[in-house]
Amino acid sequence: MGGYAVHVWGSLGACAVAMTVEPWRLRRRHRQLVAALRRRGRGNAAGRLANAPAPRQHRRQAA
Amino acid sequence: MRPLHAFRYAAPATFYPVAGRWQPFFAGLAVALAIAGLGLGFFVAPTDAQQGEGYRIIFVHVPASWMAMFIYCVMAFWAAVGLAFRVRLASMMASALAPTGALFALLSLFTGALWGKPMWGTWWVWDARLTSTLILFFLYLGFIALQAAIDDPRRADKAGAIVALVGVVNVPIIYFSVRWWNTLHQGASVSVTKSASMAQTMLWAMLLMALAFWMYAIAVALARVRNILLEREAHTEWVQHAVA
Repeated sequence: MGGYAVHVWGSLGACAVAMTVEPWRLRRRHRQLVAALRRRGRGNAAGRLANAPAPRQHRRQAA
Repeated sequence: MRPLHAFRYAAPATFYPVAGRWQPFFAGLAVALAIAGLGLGFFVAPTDAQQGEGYRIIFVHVPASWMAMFIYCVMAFWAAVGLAFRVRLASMMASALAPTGALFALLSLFTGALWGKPMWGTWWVWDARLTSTLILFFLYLGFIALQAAIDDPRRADKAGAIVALVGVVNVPIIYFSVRWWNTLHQGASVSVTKSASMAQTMLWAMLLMALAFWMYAIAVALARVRNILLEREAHTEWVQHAVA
């Protein structure tokens, strides 16, 4: 690189690192969000079941 | 596509899956264009007569600088749309663009310093172009910090939009600074009104890299806006369906 190796590769390296880390962090955040929302969804579904009124039981009429 | 159909995509529930489908396409395009641009720039483009091999920094410095300015304009546009028409998705797009714009402004300053040291003998000068780019970086940081400091997303969007719109005046200052003032930074080598003052292969490599950075910015903005949508709309039924 004619004496400019540090400057040229330094520039290219900085861009490569930044433009790899940013999408990687976004992907990781997406996975975390989806996992948290799925957990919450399951929690809500379980909560709905727990709070739901008990199914009606047929009472046998006394003879 | 009829305009009314386009408005359909302003609804978060409609936009979320569309963004997810398009995001890998832009990411792939960014990688392909970057490979082509770097190949042309590093293996085909000749050595510069004055700057030697050191000029090759422009293949990342110029696209990063262009994108830092361009993203700010797009961010201000979406912020204005969000402010004027109360379109939530537009404000979210502005928020999604800010970190990538800040990153490009930082890369522009960093790669510029690495170019300045061997060419000018200094990492930094308080030159109009460099100073206005530093202000652009601070404007991005101000936008991000202000939005993060306000809990209510609607109020955060409004405050951020005002910063974005006030700050947009800095973009023409950056662009024309090399004409308006006597700066150490060189003038534009590429212009729409006259032919480029560089070899064709250098120009093509730089344009391919600029396109690659552009596609990267779109891919990353789409990925980030999807995350913002999940965060802000977590309580809605469509999000529960989307992640199920």
